Amino acid sequence: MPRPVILGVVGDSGAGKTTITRGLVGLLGEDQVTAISSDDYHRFDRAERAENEITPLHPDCNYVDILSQHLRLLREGEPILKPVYQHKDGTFGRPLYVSPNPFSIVEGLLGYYTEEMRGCYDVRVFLAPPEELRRKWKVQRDTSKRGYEEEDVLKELDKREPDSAQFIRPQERHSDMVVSFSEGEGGDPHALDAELLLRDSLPQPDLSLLTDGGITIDEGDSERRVRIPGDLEREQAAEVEEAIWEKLHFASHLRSEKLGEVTIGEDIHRSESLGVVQLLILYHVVTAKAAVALGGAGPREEAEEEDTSEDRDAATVE
Amino acid sequence: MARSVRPIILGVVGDSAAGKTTITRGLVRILGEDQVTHVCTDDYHRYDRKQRAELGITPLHPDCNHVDIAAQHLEHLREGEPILKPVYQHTDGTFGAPTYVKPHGFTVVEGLLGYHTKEMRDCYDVRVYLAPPEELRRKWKVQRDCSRRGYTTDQVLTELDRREPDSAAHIRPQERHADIVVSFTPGEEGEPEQLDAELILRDGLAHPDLTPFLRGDGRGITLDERGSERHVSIPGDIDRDRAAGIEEAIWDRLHFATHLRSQRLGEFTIGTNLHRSESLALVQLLILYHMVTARAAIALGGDGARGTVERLAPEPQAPAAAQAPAAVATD
Repeated sequence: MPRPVILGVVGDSGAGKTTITRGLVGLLGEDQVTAISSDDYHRFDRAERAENEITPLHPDCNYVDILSQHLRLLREGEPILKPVYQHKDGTFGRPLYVSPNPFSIVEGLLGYYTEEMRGCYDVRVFLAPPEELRRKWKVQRDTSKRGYEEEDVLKELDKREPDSAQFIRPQERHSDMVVSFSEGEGGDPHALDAELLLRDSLPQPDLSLLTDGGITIDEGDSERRVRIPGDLEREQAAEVEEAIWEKLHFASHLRSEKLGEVTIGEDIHRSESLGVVQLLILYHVVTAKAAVALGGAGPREEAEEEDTSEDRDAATVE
Repeated sequence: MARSVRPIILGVVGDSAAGKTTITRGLVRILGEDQVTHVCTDDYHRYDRKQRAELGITPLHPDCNHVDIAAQHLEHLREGEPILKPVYQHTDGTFGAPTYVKPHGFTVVEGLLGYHTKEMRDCYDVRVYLAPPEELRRKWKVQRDCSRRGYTTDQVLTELDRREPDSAAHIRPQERHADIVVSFTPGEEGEPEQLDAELILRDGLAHPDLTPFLRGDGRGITLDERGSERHVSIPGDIDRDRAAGIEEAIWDRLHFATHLRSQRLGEFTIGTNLHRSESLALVQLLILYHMVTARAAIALGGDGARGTVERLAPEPQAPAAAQAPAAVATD
């Protein structure tokens, strides 16, 4: 089996990591994807964190070295015995034997913290919603699924802010793709605008033909800013998707309607901008898989060979 | 991360209650608790006690263990990397939160299936296998499991019978991969302090020369060369002066490590009482000899004890005095 392809989805708590990855897993197939959350690599359980007054965002609160080791093993196609952090009561459970599948999706807080870890991903996505929106999402999730009171979630967010500024947000610069969903004028939660920053560290598909449907592109030196309006019409979105699928002609068997789904509470909604973002991520994951299967090193390595100076700059250690 | 000299790894493999902990305890004390990383392969069980009962599988079966993960973790430790080790709790047969383990200068790995795969075997600097007579091992297992793990004698004996096929199929065959096979057996008196030690020393490691100690007054050791193996008997009631002479000679070869000589070897517990055995002390010292030698060799840029033997070993069947280096295929 060619080595697994690894996607990183990093961002602060409540930034939308699970929403982004759920659609991708659905499309690639549950049995094809090993999904890992870096929360499992916490060093302290909830009670210990309270005693030590440390937040889970702090590198010292995580076995960063073990996470890195496990990433390397997954990339090499080796199994791991993964620790298990239980969000429902904040303790650790029995470790889980994880066999590598063709795709691994690693979501978490500190996935790009060390150079060693960053080197393991084929695709690096960072989620950077505006803080106000993230707070809202975190309150929604933690009160509905993790049994907290709203007041406690807000207090916790304030307590975490210094670590978030120091350790989480700076990882943004190591990503190939930065995704920021933000509320458009209508404030409709399933019509969020998506702002993308696409960096040259991966060869990005040409999107210039897609700009008539309301998508705007701002070309920079080594990056492009793409704005996908939340109120993108279904037909316009379909056209964009068609163009991307065209480039993934070897993977047309994967096409389904699973992209763009968002759960709010118990309800499933559809967001065209989310669907396009997920498809762009999928584009990179599928392209990397195809390249590796054909004996290539993967698009990142090829991009680095072509353009060493800029990419080296982007990959500088903190 | 700065990488220091790689850790030395000792394997102590044998069936349940074969005396693994007794052998290693003295070594850990002499090397220093803070110098030794201790890993037990029971932690790599795949199923907890309840699941094993449901599946009708014994912990001796490779399928009942994450053998691949154990091998992976051994490799990491050998490379000086930390691991997040699973934790099997003998008290209730469940798994606890894993613990972070950083390799120290020495790592002692004890367990049931430590030599099951070649990948694992290649990780050890010294491979010891414990093979007491089954009758004695059963006695030891009853003693330990009743006093410390809360079982009744009947339960332990039933379990031993149930495990016998897996023991024969998976545990005992590992003996042939060891550098040192240790069998303690009751002497004529049957005194627990005076168990005879029968050793098989194999050519995979360069063992110290014991021939000067074969003659003399009183009870001493005997040595029997059989092909590439030496069979050594250390009587449980070995003459104290003779034992001291052998210890002295071994320490003399470890002249660079005399600072370790502060702790006594040969101690063991029966229930809560501490006893001392001369034969146990000698066996421990022979094992220590290899660990300390490997450490010194690696610190000086060598490959460790096993690598040195492989480089210097004469052709198999060549006269013992042959000095020409020859590559020897192992295993």
